[in-house]
Amino acid sequence: MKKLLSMLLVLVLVLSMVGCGKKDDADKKEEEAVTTEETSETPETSEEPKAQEPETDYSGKKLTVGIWGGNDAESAALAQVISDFETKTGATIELKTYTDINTQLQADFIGGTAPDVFYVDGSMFPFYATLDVLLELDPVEMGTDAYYSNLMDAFTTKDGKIYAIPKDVSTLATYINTDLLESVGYKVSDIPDSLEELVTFLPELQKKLDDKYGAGEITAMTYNQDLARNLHIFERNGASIIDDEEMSTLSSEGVLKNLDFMMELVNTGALKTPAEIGLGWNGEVFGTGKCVIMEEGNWVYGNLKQNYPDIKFEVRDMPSYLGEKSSMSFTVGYAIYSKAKEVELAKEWIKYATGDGMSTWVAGAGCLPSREDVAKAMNIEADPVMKTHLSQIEYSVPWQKGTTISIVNSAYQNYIPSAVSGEMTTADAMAKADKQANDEIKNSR
Amino acid sequence: MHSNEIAVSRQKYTKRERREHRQGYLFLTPAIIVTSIFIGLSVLFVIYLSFHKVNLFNRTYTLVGLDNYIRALTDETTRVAFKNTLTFSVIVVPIQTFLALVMASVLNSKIKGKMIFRTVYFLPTLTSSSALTLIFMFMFSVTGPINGMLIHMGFYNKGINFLQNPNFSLKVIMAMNIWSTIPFYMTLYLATLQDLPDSMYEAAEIDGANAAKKFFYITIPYLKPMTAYVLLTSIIGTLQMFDQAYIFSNGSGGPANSTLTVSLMIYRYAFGTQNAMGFAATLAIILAVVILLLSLLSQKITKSERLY
Amino acid sequence: MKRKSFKISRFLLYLILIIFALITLYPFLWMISASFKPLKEIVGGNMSLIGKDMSLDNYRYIFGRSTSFPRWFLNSFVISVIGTVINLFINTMAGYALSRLNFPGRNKIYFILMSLIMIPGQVLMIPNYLIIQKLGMLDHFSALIIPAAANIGNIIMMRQFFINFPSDVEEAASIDGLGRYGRFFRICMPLAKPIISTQAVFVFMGFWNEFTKPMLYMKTETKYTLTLGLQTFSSRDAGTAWHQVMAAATITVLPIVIIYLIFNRYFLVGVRMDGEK
Repeated sequence: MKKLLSMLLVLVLVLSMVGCGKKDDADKKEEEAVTTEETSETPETSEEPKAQEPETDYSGKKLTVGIWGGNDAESAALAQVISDFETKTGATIELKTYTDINTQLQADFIGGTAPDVFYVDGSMFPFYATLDVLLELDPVEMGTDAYYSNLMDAFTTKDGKIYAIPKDVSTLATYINTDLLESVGYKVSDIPDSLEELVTFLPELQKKLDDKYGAGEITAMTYNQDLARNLHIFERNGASIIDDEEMSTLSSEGVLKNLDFMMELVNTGALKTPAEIGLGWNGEVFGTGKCVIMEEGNWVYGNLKQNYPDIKFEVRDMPSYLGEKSSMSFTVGYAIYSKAKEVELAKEWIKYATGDGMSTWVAGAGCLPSREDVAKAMNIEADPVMKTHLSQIEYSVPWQKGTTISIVNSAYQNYIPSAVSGEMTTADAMAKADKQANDEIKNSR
Repeated sequence: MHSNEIAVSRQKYTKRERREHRQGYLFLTPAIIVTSIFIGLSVLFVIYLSFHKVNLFNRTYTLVGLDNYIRALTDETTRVAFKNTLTFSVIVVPIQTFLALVMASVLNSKIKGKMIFRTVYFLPTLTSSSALTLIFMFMFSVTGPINGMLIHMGFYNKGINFLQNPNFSLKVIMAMNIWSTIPFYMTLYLATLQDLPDSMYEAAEIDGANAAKKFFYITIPYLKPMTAYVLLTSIIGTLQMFDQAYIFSNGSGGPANSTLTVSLMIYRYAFGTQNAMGFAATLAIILAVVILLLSLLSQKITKSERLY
Repeated sequence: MKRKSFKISRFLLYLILIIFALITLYPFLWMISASFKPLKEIVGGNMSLIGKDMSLDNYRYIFGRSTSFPRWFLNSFVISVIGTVINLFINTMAGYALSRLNFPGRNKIYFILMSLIMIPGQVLMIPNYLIIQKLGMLDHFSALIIPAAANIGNIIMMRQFFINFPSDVEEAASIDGLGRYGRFFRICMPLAKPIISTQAVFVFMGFWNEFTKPMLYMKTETKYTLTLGLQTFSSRDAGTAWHQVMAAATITVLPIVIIYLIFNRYFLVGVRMDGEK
């Protein structure tokens, strides 16, 4: 009897919880239905009464903004933008700092607890855009013409809808350690500016480095086995790493041709990954004087100045390939949650943070403005390093490729070492990567 | 019907037994309430998900029956992940357990400074895992001390990239896992050994038993129940291994899938960009069944069900 | 002859113990030493414990980053202490019941509890989040304490421990007229001190180092725990700031070391229960 009773108790408890959960689920669905109705109405309702009234009083209203953490300077810059905005509008901003934004934001979307406005990484945008969690933005209202068009495109879906506004951008450029270079008898101008010529130059440089500093002590150049860094090369000449169905096509003829060219460079032995050198990333290798050339984003600039002040360097454009210049750009946007409580205030914040507030943010955070007028007004070109990075924006490929890019990139990173070590041909390695990525995509669908 | 049952149970058990039953349930109630709400429900939900194609964002659940299971069981990558995970477990669990046993019995013997040794040996458990991983990755890097030592000893003359070589990467993680978890189990064994009567060792000594004999005929049998627990947690811990594989491979499971574990796969499906929570749940259930079977096997071996 | 070989084996034993101690001690000391070094020196591959340029800069940076720092510390401490105390009672009671009390369904309950920990945590994150949300516990400390108030692993650990527990002590107490509850709280728990203190350290460490739960459940910055708060300082782009990470790790680990040293003496000072007092 006691046994029965306790079993019953447990069962009732579990069932009631399940029932409760289910009922709540149903509630949730209703709620959702209601909110989606609301949100679908918002564009119309918001346009009518608003008209031209930017100085609305938002006193007493609170906006939550989801961000990810940054270094000291970034936090300070954001705090400044926030306090300026608060003075201007009378609203209060509450920050939610994500430490693992993908996991946390997904939980927040599922639970319906996401902040009103949040950062959206360019590469994650296509996925979030499929989830009905982002509020559609009106291009005229948000003034999207002011932004670099390739960055704006990164936040536009295939059917032309805009769900986020780029708040900043970073680009890759070539960093050269001038002391090391000159120590083996070269000048910066001796470094050729095309990848094709680097195939012969890098081994020469490596030989001189080996002679002077001992074999393997200093590497001519570092690179990353990451599509986020190499996509602009792999997709040259009309090649694409995914097809219309977003299935992986790393082993397609066009991609392989470009990849094989990169392998030619790698096989010179003068191009290594930070991991091969035993370090975490290019910045550490370069900062500790263990490589002469690296390709990095502008975030490394402040880092070098702060942590490795002895290193002297110059920054140049990315090398051209097949006669064309290109680079990668990484943009982050602000998006509004589709169930946001303060939609108007959220729009106001985005307009401010990506408008008047942008220069404060960009200057502090060490990234580039996502609009040309701000770049001009800030006189970014006064700093030669930032000038170079800025010049890369227009021909850069934004790091984004459909919803399957993280799967394809994982598969790529998984198999590229076997191609580099010579265990597999690049064709075999990429065929395996394709198979694995596509299995994963099919399992998910 | 209800009163009938009461009558039956009245007949079956004495008053004293019934009181013991009541006490048993009472002692267990808090644990059962907490675990059934916060784990039990989630587990039921995961089982439910595993039979569905799920989009949690708009709460659509499409029943797909055993489809996820069939896909999972025929998937090549899943097989690789299970192979890696089982290899990892089969090698790590026995070594871990045995070394922890030996060290605990050594530190329980009459040696000087055991307090200091015990404290020092516990430190890896306290050291942050990011610090541990960094140090390990440095030690095994191309220019690191392990390569330096092996080159110096003349095994080869060019550093091996242990972290990026599919033949070594999983082994490096194994070494790290063994090294960092031994202290945990050792401490447990030591705590249990505090209740082992000295008289048993003394009697054995009079009979002329040496240290090895005492270890195998007294210490090991006495620690059997705790060994059952150590094996259980070690099996679960190794088969669910995630963090180290994630950090080592940057989440890719590479190179060439050599560090791909089942948990890593589950995470990738669950939080990937394809809404594959249903498939992730299926992999989790399959992994759970494998763990359960191995745990039961280990319990059979240690035969801990005794002494009631 | 026998003496001699005995001496040699003793020497070897100590040698092995000391070497192993050095292997375990070194990373710990390195972590502490790195927390005083600038980044450049850490990534420069210098593995020595004494750096050229050691300073308190990293600590100054961390303590200066947020005014919420003492708050996070306090939060972690309160959550860990309350959670540990509750855990010790619930786990020990459950482990005791599962090993020493006879009641119908006992083995079934044990089996179900055991099965529940077989499911890997990665898929439980979202369901758990939804449950916590439904119960209105999001952004409350209760979300970190109550779901973790019982630990199945430790329940099983206590069960295995009590299996070895000599029953004559308890029987003697019962003859002295002590009831079940009195025997449990006044005889069994005190006698199980070594294992309970071991458990205490593990449980405390579990709460103190818990990262995923606070990350998902805590929304307000002042309610963050120490591990979560420290994590918000890390930047996404520019590699790992090892110097700051190590300082943060050292700050995190010190309280546990102190707790460990406090409980450490209980580990070895077991109470003999075999009547040879």
